Amino acid sequence: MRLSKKICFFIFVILSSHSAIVLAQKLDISGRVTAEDTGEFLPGTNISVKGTNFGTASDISGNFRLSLVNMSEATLVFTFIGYKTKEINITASTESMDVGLETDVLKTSEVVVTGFASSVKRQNLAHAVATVTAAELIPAPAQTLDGALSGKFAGINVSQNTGAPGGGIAVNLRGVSTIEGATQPLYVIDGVIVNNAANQSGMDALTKAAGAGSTRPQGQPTNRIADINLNDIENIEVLKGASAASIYGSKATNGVIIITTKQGTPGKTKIDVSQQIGLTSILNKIGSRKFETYSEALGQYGADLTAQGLNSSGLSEYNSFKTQVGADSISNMSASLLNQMFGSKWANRFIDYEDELYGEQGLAQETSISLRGGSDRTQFYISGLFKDEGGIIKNTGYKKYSGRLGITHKISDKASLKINTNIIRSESDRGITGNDNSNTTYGFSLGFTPSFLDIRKGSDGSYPDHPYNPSNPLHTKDVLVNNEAVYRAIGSFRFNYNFLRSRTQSLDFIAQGGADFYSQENEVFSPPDLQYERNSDQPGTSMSNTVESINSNLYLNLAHSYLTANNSFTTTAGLQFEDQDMNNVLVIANNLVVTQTNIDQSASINVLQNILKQKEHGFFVQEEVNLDEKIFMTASLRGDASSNNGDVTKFYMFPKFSASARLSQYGFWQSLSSVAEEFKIRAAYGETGNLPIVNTKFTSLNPSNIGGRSGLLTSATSGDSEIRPERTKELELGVDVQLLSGKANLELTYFDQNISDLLLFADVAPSSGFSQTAINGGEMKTQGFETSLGLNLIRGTDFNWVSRVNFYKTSSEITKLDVPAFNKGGFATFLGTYRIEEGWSPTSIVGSEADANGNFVKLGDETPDFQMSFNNRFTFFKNFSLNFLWDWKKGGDIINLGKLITDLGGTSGDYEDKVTDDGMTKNSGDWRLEVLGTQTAPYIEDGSYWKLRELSLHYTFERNTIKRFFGESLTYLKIGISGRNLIMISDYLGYDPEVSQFGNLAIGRSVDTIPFPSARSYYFNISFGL
Amino acid sequence: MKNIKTNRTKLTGMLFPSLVLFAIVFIFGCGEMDFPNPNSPVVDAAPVQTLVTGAESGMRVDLGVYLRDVSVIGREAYYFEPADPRYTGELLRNTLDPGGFLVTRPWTAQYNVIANCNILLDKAADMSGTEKAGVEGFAKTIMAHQLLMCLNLQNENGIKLDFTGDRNIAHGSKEESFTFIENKLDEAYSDLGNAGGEFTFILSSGFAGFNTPATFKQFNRAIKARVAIYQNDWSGALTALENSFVDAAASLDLGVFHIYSSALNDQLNPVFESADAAFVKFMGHTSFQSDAESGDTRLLKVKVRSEATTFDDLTSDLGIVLYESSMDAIPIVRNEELLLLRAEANIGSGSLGAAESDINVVRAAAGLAPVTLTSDNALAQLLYEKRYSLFLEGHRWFDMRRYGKLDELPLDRSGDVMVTSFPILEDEKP
Repeated sequence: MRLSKKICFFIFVILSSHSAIVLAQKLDISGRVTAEDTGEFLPGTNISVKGTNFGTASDISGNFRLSLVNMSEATLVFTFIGYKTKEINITASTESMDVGLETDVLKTSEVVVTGFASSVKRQNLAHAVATVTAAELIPAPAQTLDGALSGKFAGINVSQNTGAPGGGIAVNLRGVSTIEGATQPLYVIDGVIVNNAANQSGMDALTKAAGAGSTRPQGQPTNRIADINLNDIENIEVLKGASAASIYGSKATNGVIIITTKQGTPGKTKIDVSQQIGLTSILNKIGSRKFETYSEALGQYGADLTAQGLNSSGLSEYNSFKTQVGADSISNMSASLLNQMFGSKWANRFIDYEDELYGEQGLAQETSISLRGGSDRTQFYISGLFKDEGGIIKNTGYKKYSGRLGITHKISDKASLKINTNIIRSESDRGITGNDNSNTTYGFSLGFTPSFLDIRKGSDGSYPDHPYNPSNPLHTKDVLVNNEAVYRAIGSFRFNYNFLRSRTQSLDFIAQGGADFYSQENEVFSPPDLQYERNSDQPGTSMSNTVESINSNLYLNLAHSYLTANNSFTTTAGLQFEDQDMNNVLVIANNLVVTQTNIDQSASINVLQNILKQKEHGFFVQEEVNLDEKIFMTASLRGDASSNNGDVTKFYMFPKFSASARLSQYGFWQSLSSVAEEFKIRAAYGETGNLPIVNTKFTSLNPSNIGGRSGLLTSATSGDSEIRPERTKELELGVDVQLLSGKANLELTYFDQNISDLLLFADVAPSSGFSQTAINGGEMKTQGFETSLGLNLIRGTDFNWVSRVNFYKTSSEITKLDVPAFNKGGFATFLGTYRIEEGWSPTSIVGSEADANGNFVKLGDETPDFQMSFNNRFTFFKNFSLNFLWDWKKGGDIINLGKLITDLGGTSGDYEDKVTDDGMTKNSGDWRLEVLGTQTAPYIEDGSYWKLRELSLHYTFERNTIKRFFGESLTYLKIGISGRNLIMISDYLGYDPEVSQFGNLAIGRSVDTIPFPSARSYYFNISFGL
Repeated sequence: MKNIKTNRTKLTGMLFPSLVLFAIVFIFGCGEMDFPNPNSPVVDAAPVQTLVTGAESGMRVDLGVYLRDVSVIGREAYYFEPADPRYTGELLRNTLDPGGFLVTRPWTAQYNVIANCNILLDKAADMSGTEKAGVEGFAKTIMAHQLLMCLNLQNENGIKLDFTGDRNIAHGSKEESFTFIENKLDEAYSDLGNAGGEFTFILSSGFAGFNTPATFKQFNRAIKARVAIYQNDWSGALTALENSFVDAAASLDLGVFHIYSSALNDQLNPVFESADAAFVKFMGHTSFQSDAESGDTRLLKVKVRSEATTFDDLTSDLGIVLYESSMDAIPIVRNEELLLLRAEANIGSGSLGAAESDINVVRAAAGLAPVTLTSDNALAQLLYEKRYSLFLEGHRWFDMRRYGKLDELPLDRSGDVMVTSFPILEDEKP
């Protein structure tokens, strides 16, 4: 929420009819506000009288009228989102004025929220806040909100866990802040905290990757922020660190992403329609080993399997030979003899199974319609979305339907109400990918499928059994169902009531809140005739997973402002109530009656239920002081009590202080103002929390039944009845500079976080009946540096170039550990794991390698050296616009176990690349397997990449042309092409260096076990206004 | 005009109070924040019955690992696990990893049951009369049984006799551990004498015939007899056996069992595998067949498979047919063992005649002719009967160890070494 909009709702001209005194001095002014470049009216422009609480807003036609009693002169301040703020002095002689506002491409006039009921101009702001506008968010269509944030500002690391339709994306703001606690930022949309849970589908039960209901599930689920319709977003503000997010208290350690949706505007109803049609295809293939000769395959797979690669006469010769001498004699024959017999019959076949599996060209389309309009008192925004994206694997894809209604209504001069409702249906079909202990996933199965082997569907429609793997992935992809469907409803309101408004004082009451409800249903069906099901003792699997979740919150705030001639003081205080309830039931049915999918048509059923219940109460007070636009200071305190804490009645306090000084406002800067017209230094300190993991305060018992009677047994983990939130203390220092007469702006920010009371699970002696206990025990330090340089060096309507370069670097260190150093994440030490040890980076990767003293050797670190993004927008020949975003991650290591799988299957694309070890030349695949157990390093790879995230080229038709063809019915018409993830440049040997087998956890993310490969997508689009 | 304005003021004036009212409703609607864990009960909330059932059920947790451990070391069987080479490595080469699952999982499971028993004892402290005595008698007996299993593995290393989880407290010595276990059993025995005619809780059908204080006492004495024998306390063992359910006339399978089912949160028999499957993991040691007396029906506990399996340089063709399904019960202690314990105590105290009669009861059941015991053959005969009667029930390794005969067990591969004691767990050391 920005000030300019918010003020529209509760700042009204107060013409006191009580006043009997006729005043001598009076200003009467009227005028019209337009956009300087297009000449369009700007209805809803906020016009305030500097140094007072008075103001008004422009009407449907951009007109305004203002009467100010008892004033002989005044400064009017015009603000409108996306335009530079303009100040105009008026005197009694001024009667009418036309005001043109200039587009604010570098966001210098932006207004940023600083609390639940306050906001401030960016130029005064004392901490770094990133903002992303609608236009910046989706130059090319994106499936999910988090995915669209990649590279948009400094301090963010967006990494998809899998390329599966519907996402599964981790957003990390400012580095590592926890080891066991929550990792994802808090998402607040129009004042409602929206649920971003990643709910397991139950797929683990099929892949046996982890026990169903495991505390470390591996299903790589979608996180639910994916449901939001990106086209509804007007603006995103990102509070990256504790110094900014402190007012959100014990949920804010990972930052807060505040989303404001589009609102109605007074005036004629505007209808915007946009249609996208496109294709998706695999971004990057990993390749497969080519077996040029019979002997080469023979060395890898033995005679029987290799015979499958002979031509048809060779195969029948082999088979008759086998019948003749018996399989045993063949296995005793020397390779050279076999080669003599069959070498010439080698078919030298290469079947590209990546093409067979991942070669779909998914059809993608998106239709988006929105209507906005209304009267001066009531405005509405209505939108609808239909999106359907086919995946790169057959029977996969993503669909989203969304409808939104937003209404703002002025109840009276003192009261206003804003309501937003959003209904969403999203659906994804995700196939079966990722880690696996049953060799059923596509990636694992392909790893065991040599390119000469033919397992393709026969002409009779049947699928041959895979001779070297428990499943035929081509069969699986054609019949397996893994569907996730979500119905979601999000509603929010904001009510403002003005108690008092005088020239120097105002007092407002703001109630804000809402609820987010969704129901997620997963259906997994693995028919009994699949190869791995047929060979199971309980063929056929059907799973039904249901998640019902509701989040609700209510914020009650009072905001008071007091103005003096040059200074302003804003006091806000409020109460927060936040609630979360979730119920998850997973039913796994095995041994299905053939042709049936219902879970009751089975011989064996397992049921798991998990309930999540969480409540928070909080309060906050905040004082903001603006001294003559030169110095801006804030002090606030949030107190939070949560049901997750050991002591539920205790309010944990999270203070914040910040100050900025605009040196350029001082006299001494005059000589420098030609160099930098704005120069601000800022410092902010704030604290936030990360709540204890739900239910870790309890020492609970687990069910353990016998003889039909229910029993309870002590569980592995004992709780801590005094568990408290993790605490992040952040100091942030920064400089904001505006140079070259507004053509450039530069933001430099350094942050230093100290995280204490780290939530950990400490190993305890099992003789206590427990294996581990939850504790607060450790400290960590995370530092970083963010730079953002915005340039608008070439300006003009014919040619315009706006560019933004972001740079971000962070590093962390465990500074204190109350438990012995331990390994975390991964599958086993020799397969690569993370090391939590004092003095180490918490994202350090270790393996089998040890130094002379038997200590672990650091083999890599997941945290990248730095990240940069380059965003450019060109306008040329007046009507063309070109937009592209390059995203660069330098460094950051990954445990590539996908490579191990393909090595084990003998199919790695680089298997035969030669390496020299002990003076011997070996195949690199052989060598990696040979040293496995003593060396993990061969499977740890650099995950650096360059990605062309977004590219778009648009042409906007001339108004005259539109008029000629369509008359007055069309207001604009735009066509273009766009693409997402078009190019990836990386030495990484897996599908995508953005990967996490274990989903959104803090430590142990970068483990690759062959996820759903990433896709690139391209679109043709057309959009027009009515 | 004036009227209208007044109304308006009233209307807007109403708004704020109604909002405050709404807020209050919301606040109280939020309810108490101090709610219990919605997914599983905390210790305080657990009723005695569920803890008793949980303890009984928990005795089966990782019993499979325990039985594989002792059967493989005792050269009764192999466990061919392609996914884990440790069953044919560590156990046969005496390279047990103190942090590895072969060592930690049985220990952890047994101390989990002990923790349940300690919770029961805490709850019993607030009870009185026969109820209290019954709960205490049950809890202490089960606790002693679980500690004995831990001590069986740890042997010379003793076991933790402190349950606070303090890693600085050392294991008790082997002798101290035995004394602790015996004391628990004796305390329980006296508690059970004061526990009235019925328990206030219900045991599963695995305890059929032993589910009242009076009959549970017999189970207690059976375990006590085992503990006494393990310490060469022959007279103590005979006394205990007198009060146990040992009965030469009764079925050899009279006793107490772990029962299994496929019901929710229940467990399946961890030893059962279909002996006809293409690949089985648990296979008998070939010496079990070659060392048997001809006509010994106890050989029917294994089945010769058409093809031998070779894994990790070990070969066997003996499938295990001890159990018919994954829902068959596994004995905790049964009459056959007690008869042999009585024979052992009598041999120890020189009463070869009494021993002979018990041994011949067991032999008769196995279709074998009676034997005459002499001081020369008595021990060997007893160990033979125990080996075949209690095959894969987890006794062979301990019996051979107690008599210093571990060197008589076959080592199949060069480099194989006998394990005598399990290492102390990494997490139990400071």
